[in-house]
Amino acid sequence: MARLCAYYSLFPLIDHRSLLGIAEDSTSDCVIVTLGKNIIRYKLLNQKQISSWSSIEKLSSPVVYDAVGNQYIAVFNRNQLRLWTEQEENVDKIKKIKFEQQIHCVIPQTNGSEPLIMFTNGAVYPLSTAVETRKEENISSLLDTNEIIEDYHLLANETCTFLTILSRNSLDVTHFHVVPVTGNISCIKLKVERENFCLMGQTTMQQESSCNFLTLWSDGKLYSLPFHPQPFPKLPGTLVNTVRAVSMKHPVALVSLSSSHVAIYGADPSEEGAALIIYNVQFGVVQSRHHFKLFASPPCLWHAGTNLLIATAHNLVVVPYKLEAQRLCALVGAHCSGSARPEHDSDVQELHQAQCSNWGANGTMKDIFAESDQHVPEALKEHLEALQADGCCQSMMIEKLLPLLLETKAISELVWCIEHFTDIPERSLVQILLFSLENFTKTEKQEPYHKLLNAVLHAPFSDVCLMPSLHTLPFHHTLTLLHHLAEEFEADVSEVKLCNLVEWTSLLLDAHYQRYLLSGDPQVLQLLRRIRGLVIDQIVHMNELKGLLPLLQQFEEGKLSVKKPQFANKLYSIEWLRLY
Amino acid sequence: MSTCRVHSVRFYDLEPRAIHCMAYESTQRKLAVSRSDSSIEVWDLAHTPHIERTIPGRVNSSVEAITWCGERLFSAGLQGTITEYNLQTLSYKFDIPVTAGPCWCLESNCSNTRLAAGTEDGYINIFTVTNDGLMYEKILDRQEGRILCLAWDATGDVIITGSADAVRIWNVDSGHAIHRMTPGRDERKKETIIWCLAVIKDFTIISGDSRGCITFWDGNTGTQIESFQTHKADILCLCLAEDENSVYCAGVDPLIISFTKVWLRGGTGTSSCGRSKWVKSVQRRIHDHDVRALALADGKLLSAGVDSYLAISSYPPRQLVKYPPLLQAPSVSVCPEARCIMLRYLSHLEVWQLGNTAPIENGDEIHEGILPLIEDPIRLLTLKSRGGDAIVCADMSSNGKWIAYSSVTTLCFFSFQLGSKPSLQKAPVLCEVSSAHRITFTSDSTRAIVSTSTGDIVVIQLGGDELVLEHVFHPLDDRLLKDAVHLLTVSHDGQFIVAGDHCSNIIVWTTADWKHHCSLPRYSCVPTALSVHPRTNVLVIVYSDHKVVEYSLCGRKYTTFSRGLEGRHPVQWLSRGFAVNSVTFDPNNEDIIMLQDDNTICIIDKDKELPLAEAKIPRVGSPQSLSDSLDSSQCHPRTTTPQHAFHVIKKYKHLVHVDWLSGDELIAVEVNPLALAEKLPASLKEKRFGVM
Repeated sequence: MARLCAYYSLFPLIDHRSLLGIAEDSTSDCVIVTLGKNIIRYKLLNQKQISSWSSIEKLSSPVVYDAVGNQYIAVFNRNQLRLWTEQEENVDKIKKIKFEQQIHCVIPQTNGSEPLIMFTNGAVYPLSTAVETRKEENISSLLDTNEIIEDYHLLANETCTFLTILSRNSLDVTHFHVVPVTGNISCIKLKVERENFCLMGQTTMQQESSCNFLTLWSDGKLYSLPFHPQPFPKLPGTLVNTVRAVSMKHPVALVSLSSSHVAIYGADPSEEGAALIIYNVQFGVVQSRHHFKLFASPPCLWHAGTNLLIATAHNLVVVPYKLEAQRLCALVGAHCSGSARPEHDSDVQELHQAQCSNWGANGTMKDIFAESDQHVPEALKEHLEALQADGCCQSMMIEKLLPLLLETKAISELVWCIEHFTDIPERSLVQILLFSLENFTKTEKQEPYHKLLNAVLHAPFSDVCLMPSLHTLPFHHTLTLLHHLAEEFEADVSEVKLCNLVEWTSLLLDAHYQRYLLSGDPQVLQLLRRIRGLVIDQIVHMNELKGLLPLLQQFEEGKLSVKKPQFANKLYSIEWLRLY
Repeated sequence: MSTCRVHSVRFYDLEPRAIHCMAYESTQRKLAVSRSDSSIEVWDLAHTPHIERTIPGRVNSSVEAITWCGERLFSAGLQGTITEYNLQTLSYKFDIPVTAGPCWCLESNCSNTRLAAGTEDGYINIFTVTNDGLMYEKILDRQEGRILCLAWDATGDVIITGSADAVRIWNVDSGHAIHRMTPGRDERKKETIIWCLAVIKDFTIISGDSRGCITFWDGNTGTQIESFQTHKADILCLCLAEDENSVYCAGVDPLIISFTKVWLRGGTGTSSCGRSKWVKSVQRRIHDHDVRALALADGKLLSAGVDSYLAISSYPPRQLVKYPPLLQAPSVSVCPEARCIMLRYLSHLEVWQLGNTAPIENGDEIHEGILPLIEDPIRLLTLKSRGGDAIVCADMSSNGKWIAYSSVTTLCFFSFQLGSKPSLQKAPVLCEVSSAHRITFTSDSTRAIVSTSTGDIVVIQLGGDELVLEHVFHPLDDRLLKDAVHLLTVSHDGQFIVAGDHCSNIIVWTTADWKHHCSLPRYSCVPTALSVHPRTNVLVIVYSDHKVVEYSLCGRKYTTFSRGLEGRHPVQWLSRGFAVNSVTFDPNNEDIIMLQDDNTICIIDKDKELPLAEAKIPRVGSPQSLSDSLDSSQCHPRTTTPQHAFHVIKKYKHLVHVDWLSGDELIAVEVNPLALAEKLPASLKEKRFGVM
């Protein structure tokens, strides 16, 4: 489960464009914010400024902290590098390391290696190497001259480290590059495009077995392309799901949080404000979302520790998030609501075939079709199998089947459904109830509707969920049902269990409480009196049973109760007394 | 080994009657106690404390103060009179009205020559005590407000009175107030009421007031010496020790606190010139409700109040005996033939048909515990006395056909028909007998023996519906008896009539020739119970010091058992705090004598050896009987087979009466202390640790 916590403002952002970026500091709860000519260190916990530096010259990329050299690294004017420690007071006095080539940015490494310097031509060198060879003309240009780096991600696994770069050339064509840093890995260059759709956001995500390139397109579809170690990847990759939580009319920022979660920040689909969501790529569901009042384009989203930082219109907002252990139960039903709607999109691609697996060791799990001895009615078999193949849960199956069954008045199938499905939505129960009451006649006891009604009364339900649906049941039908319940109460051999009778009666009385109160109809009153009489009878009955219980307990304990007669009078007793 | 079926009767539903005032007379060692029903009980404290006589209360009268004047008893009440009582006839002698309204307090001077009464309107009435009555002497100056308490000083020249916001010292001769002392107030608009006063020989005045303060005043100068806030609520009573060195006080806050006079260094012992100081001493919580009266008798503190119990305590040694508010015995009559009991209440009688158990199938089996009832007890009759007068005595004949009761004014006989529709018919009044102190029927229900208030013993023949006066004895005139008869019995065969008075005279008459049969040797103590064995005609008498005497009526001498017992009574038996109320015999065993007091049945088996005097008396009880409290089990070691003549059964609380019904059936009438406590008003709420 992933959850976005309550957000707070770190500092007011006056000039949105001057914000170059945010990087993690020496300690985990601090961030370095680079703003044009100022470098400020903030503590996230109390939103206090720890220290700051200012320079005369302009910075050209975010300042990063080098854990190896215990220093801060900044790029000035695209060609100077300055390194300083925390104790340094004046940044301008620091020795400048001039480069021939233009530096795009400095990328800190987390695995204990020194930071990487990325040049605008796509070349990447470790800091020390870059400094040593700064005077030399580097010809190993990866990118074309008209390509500019739009985004980059550093990925590392046990064997290799590499950089992915998204570049855009002057013709507005984007390319995805894989640039090796260490290890045996080949360069990849892919043209990122889909017919008729344009790329709105992308990120890379490192999963257990592969590195994926996630692309979000203007139709809202999120694709995942595994590119390493799989050879010859082909865009766009596999469809994860359609993301509807953010608007695709504006650029979207994506940040990978874990192997299955990605944070997506973009304009709200209602075109008002912005939305930040945590999206589970594994299950294709939105797991948490926040709404912001204002959206600033292009969207800026950073990730520091367990915080997401967003540059909104006037503030830099910190949103802490929590990723907890995946629980499947939290996702049950979440998926279905989306796919329950008829898909109008023409190019629906079923990429995953839902597989029905029996988890129970010896088949104790109740699966409707797994049990061979159950014969599914022929009329239903086909539908059920289709629904099963779609991976629908029971409640959805019922919801989909019900209109059909009601329309065809397939009573026996309905009864079968009620008896064999364990999870029937309360709304559907009331629908069936209404259907059976509409066709219900008091006289014939053996008629099929009678059977259906009793089956409904036996179905498991939650009274809290049932109550709103019961309100919709017409009053005269409620009365009919109450009559039926009363008859069942009085019947010598009741077809409905007593507990169900009691529960349904009280529910019906609750559901239309005011109607009973206001109704002056003598028949209604008579019915209520009849029920009251039945209740009193039951209570008397219960009291007798209550008296029986201790006796039975005594029998159970094997004690033959010595019957104590009622002579223990407080005021008078005759007892044996030994005199002498 | 003998068991019997005991009918435990717990429906005797007595009302607790709060004790309002007490007066102790030290020469006779008698304590007068007045209760809320305006009755006065005279307790004999000479040996084991017990009620000697009860003077029934009068309707619409109250007793606010009682005082002894020598051997004469006076009371004052809100009806505005001073009353003297005739202790022999148990009625009032005369009423003398006082000047101005209800009378709140009454006190006699040290030489018992004068009585002073304080009234509602603030007058102090002085009466001279004459041989045959009281003579009004004078009134002192009127003061504002009622006089709630007064005290004579040792000389008898000065009276101290207490009223709202003032303690006054009066000169009796001049009739003027000498000093007026104000106790001060806790709240400005709430007056402080002086509820009680005491005076010491050195003219230190001690007062207790409604603030809960006890104040010591110097009567010579009219100034306050010391004041102690001791109680959380009103102090209603205080009493001085005889040596006047300590004082006890209590009230609405039932904590009894004592103050002791200590002599400060520099003083010379007990001489008056030394400086002394009153300091708070021991305190004790004996009652849970308001303490209304305190008295000291021979070093023991008597305390009583709303909870109706008379508590006699001492410290040191730490002792406490509480006497329940029961009526003076006999209050229960058992009719073996009719299987009825009659219960006497304050002003009515109840007749109950007893219940029954299923017949026992296995007779050999030794039973314990409660038996199943197949028949519940039924109340057959509630008979209210005429005009709500207090009933002095009552009895019911053995066959249940006759009921007799007497109030202060009338003696009534009723013939009673049992059965499904009980009916009651009043018998014509006997003009010869106005009222009776004791009534007893012979066991064949043909005669009634009545001891009248005039001191005569009257034998009445019961034939059909007629009452015939058969014979009258005049023991007072014959100088056989000297006081009112409180013990009257007739032998089972009707041959002997036995009567005992408060002066320890016990007289036996024969009914064959209406002659004086014998007078028993007079003992120093008062007999508290006597009974004639139904088969052997042996008279058993228990005195107030717990001595048991057996006297053969036919042989006119003490039996050998009695002579053997003389001087060999167990010490523990003699030191019991409760007097014996009744004596019964086991009809199946001639050797058994059963004695009953407030909480114990003592069984004397004449067949067995007498125990050593110092030996503890064992109690009979099976291990599972839960009624034993811890202390009683320490006093009486449990035994299953008593070896010696004395043993006790401790199973009851407030046992009123024990009698044989028939065969193996015994009746034990008891009053539950909780039932009494339930009827009491709420007491002062006080948080105490560990107590709800």
